[in-house]
Amino acid sequence: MSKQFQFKLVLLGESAVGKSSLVLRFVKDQFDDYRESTIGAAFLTQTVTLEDQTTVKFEIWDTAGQERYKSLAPMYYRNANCAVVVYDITQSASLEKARNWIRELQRQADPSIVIALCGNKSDLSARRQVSEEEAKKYAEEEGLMWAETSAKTGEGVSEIFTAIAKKLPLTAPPSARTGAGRAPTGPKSVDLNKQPAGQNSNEPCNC
Amino acid sequence: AMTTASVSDTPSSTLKPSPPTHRLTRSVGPSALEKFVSKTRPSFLPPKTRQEDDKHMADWEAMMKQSRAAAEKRRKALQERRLAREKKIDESLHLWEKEIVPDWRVVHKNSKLRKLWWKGIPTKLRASMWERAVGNPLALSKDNFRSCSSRAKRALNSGAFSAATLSKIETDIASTLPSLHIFHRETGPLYPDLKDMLCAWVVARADEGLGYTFGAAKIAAMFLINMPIQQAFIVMRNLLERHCLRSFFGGSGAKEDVEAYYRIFETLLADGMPKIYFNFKQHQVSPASYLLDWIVPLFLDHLPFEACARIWDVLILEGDSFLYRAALGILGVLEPRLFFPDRQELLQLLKGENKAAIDVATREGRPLDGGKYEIYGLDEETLWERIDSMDEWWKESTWNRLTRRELPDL
Repeated sequence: MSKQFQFKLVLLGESAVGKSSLVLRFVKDQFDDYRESTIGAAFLTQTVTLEDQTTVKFEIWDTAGQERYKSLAPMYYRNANCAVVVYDITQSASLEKARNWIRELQRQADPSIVIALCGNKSDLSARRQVSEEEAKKYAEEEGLMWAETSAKTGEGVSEIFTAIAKKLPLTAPPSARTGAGRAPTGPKSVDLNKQPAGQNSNEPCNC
Repeated sequence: AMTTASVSDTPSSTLKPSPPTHRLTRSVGPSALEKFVSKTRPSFLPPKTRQEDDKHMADWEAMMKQSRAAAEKRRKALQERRLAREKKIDESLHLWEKEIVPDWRVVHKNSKLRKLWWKGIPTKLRASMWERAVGNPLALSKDNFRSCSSRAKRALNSGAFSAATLSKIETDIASTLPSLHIFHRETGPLYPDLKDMLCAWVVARADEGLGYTFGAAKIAAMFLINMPIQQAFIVMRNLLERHCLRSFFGGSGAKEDVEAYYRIFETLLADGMPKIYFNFKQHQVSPASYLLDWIVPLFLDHLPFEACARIWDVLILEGDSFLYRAALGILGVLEPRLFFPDRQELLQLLKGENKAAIDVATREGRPLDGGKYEIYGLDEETLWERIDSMDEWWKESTWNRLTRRELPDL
């Protein structure tokens, strides 16, 4: 019998970096040059079969509209096993935004979450503003997976999802949906009493 | 020049240069009729010359462009202020964790911390703060959802679950935060949870002889966005146990209490906003025609989602009196629009269906599928300015006195 896993994957990043296109390529192997921007949340699933016949089913939460609705964050982060944070290699500002998302994930999501940083639109490398070295260095510092992809040509797309699938069962318990044992991230990561002075001094403090 | 001025003042619908069908044909060149018909003057007035007509047409286009640009600028500025507010809340996280998380009741003693709570709970702490501030007066066990849900499933499978209730639930879900797409029947990731939760809630209510209340889906949805279903269920049941909500959700048995709550609202309205009160009175617009619609879904139908989250933060902390304060704040923001000398028009406006406002919102490209009052420019900032400014006259003691008078058994 092969093993089966189910994981929740959230997709984050600035608008128009190609989040939905990336998913569309991964799930349906399609590409659409003039996709309208996603409104609200979109939800898709796709299954990846690994070499050892393990199947990994991704529940993909495409989080458009996040910027408008900060209060939705708990829903996206709750029980998320992995996150793909997308930037556009032709827009250096989009990497800045990606860094913000990653900081947010590190603060709010379950500490065991697997984060992949993904530089999309690699087919437009002539207009590149973000070098591979820069992004890779940042990813290594933060302990993230990293790859460049092109939702348009398909380059690197299935690879990054497969890489995430391979990394997942090792670091997270299977099927967060049914697992009643998983505590909500909120109370779990709030440390009531421990307030090491050193930890606080790293953060900007307004008091 | 006179004509252009009047064009700018009038809602776009009445003097729109041409109906859409004409605009469509314009791309293939003007029709024979269009060459003669003025686009900028109503047909009952003497015609303008072609040149004047063209000039006014161009003026109109330019004004519309300016208006769109101005609206865009306002929207950007508003968005920036909102991001700044959110950043401030994020930065206060350590203060929350140090001062409030260990025992949230400290906010009742420390006015500085209470003020911090009023600014909005950091999203990361929202679930746990809501849960603690609502408490568990019903003493429900952790398993409560599971047991109600399995009873609901048995009833559904055996056909004992009322079909009418089920279809009410579906209709309620279909109108729950539709712009977010999270609860969409086919594609919404949280649709199954929402339906399960509501069916379980119906079972729990049946024990008390109560049925489904339309609007409950909104409340369940807000909790599901913030916390897992088992926890959401318990917090929702306990919150709806608070007297004011319990009355509005109480069906025909709570009719007298609801009437009392309407009287309390009218008294407060007369106190704080006498002009609105008199105009409503004159045109027989009673709280029954808007307050129920606001309170049952806890404002989620009418206010923008973000504004709602913060309203919830405070009403969960402060209790029923804040429901009223928020409701009065809404009327305050709508005030300039509330002096129609016509009952139908007032009711339509309160339903969020004012035609002129919808036209303006459409022209400015504002979304129409969010909170119903977004078309009136009711956003978090404006509403809170209004609520904060009520500090001048709002007295908790008045609220207490009124509830004692109208609801002596409480």
